Amino acid sequence: MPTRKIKETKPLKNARDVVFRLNVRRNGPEPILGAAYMMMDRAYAFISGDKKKILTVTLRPKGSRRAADLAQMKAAFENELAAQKLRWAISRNNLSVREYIAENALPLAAEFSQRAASAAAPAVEELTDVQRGEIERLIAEVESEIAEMKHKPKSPDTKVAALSWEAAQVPKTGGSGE
Amino acid sequence: MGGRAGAENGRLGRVSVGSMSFRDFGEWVLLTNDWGRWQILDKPDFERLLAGTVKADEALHGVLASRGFIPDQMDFGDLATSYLKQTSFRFVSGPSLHMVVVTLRCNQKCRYCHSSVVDPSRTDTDMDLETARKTVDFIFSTPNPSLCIEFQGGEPLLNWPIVKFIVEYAQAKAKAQKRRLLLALVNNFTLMTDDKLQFLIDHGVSICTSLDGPADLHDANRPFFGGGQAQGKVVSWLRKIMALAKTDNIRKPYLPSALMTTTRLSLSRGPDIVDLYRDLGLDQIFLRPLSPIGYAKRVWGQIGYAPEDFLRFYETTLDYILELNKSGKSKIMERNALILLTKIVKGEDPGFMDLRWPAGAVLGCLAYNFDGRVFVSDEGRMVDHQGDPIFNIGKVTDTWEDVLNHPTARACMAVSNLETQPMCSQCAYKPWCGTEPVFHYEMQRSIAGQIPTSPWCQLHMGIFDILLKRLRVPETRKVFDNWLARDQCQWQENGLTPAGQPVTEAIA
Repeated sequence: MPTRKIKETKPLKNARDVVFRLNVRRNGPEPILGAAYMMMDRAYAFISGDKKKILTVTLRPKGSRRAADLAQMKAAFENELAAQKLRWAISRNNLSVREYIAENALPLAAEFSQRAASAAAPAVEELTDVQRGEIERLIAEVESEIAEMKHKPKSPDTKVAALSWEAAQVPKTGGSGE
Repeated sequence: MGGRAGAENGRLGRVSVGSMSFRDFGEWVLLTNDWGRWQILDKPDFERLLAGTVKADEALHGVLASRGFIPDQMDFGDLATSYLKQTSFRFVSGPSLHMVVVTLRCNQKCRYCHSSVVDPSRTDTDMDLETARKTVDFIFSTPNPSLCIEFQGGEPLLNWPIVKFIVEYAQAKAKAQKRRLLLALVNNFTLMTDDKLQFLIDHGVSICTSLDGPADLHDANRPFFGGGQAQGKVVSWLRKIMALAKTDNIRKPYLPSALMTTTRLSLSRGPDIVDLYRDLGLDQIFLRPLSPIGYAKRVWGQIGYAPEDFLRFYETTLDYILELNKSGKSKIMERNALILLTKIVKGEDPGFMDLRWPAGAVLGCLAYNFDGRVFVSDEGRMVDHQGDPIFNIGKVTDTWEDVLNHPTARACMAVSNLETQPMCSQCAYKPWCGTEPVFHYEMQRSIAGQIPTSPWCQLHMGIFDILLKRLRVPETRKVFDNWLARDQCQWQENGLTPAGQPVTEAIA
């Protein structure tokens, strides 16, 4: 695949962009879009043209635009395009296999779900009288504890407590008297 | 994503290669497939695989066939089973992890606090009894047969009566409904008392705390509100509980665990932090990166760092831990590595919400605010605390169906499907990775994220790379295998406590 050299047109408007005109039939639309997407950590990618015939990919570097860097970006895109073609070819070749295995996994998944459910099957909630009484006792206990907690004095130093983190970090100024 | 391997091959059209993703490490290539099988090949062998020149009588051919990389020799039943084992969480309905924020109050003001706390006088941010009861009722209306309730804050011990109530009420409901229940308390230990500890032990509540490292580092990261030192209290309680745990088998399954959060101050302190964990007898350390979410986002300029800084810290600290293991000085394990190795080597789901797809948010976990509002995750709740309620998907008085069908919940599920991400769908780490809508919303203002520029991707891909490189080294692989044999990565749904019983009853 990468033996055929990518034909690069001259930069259109901005001499510091890297521009490719790519044949969609030869490269496939997905690899072109995929390669452009993968360059987004280092360039803004603009795509225009006819998605069935020729697409123009313009890479505008986010960093340095020296000639050497542009050459490196060009090589990186070519490399990524070749990898994308390989990845998409593998993916297309194996689509039916992937679907078939997923289909095979679904009945197994149904069995698995049933096993998981029966291992700890949620039952209709039936609290016994003892449990109900226990919960009522618990609620009364917690209410009393909360009431007690609320009657306790608040934070000992509300001025300090109300400070934001940033304010609390400001070193105290003023003499100590010593 | 390592495109050179593809660039050197032009013969695919004439051969048939099985379904695979690959990552090029230069002299070798990692192959993975959707079914969780993987293989590392030297570059020449990879080229031969692509060219279709690996002969049927070669050992390599057998290995590749057994792992599903040779298309005309695939054992479909075996691969389907492997696929299911790897992604079992997708086939159990409903979230298993329920994070309950019983108060926003905290007596500490951590520099990175995710939870975006308020000061201890703000009792108006305490969960009340009625909300607590409705929260538990909602949790028990969700369909997962196994539930884990995790108390978060703020500092949960500041609203202790509600913690106690939820523990006992949830255990009663679990018993009545015959459901598995795990309970966990995340606290800072500064308000722990003997009575509270006894209650937690008696009810089988596992205890987790934060320990960022030696006193100077911990106290710089996690001072008391208004300033002050906290590390001494954490260390003394950890020592006390570790000593208690040695006294009988009841307490043993509930050994406390500690989490560290890496700030800029931690980056040069890896060995010091590990040595403290060893000294305390903790069997694991979790080298966690800082997330730029909630309050941490506001102070990122002071305490944050680039993904590559964390990766350098992670790599050197992991190597230090591995050397300790190899030399027999310690058996301490690193939890990030354990989680990923459980996926890679064992082909199982370790129940870790951050790395799964669709995302753990909603399908794996839910977060409950003190006021009864429900969020897709605890991170989503933190975003709300900063004034943006986008991840609020209902309240505890709604039905589970309402929450599941909330447009935000559905959007989070849809965008976190890695098959729909142009870069992730091809990535060799796809079977083991995941994405996080809240993180990307906070970082990139898009719940889908832009993966080529995503710090999430850089960070996780970097950690995967570090582990894969070490998996190739036989001596290191031996340490990893030993860790997996002692594995503490329990599936959420395989918890230790059966059917809501307090541990004392369960053992009796």
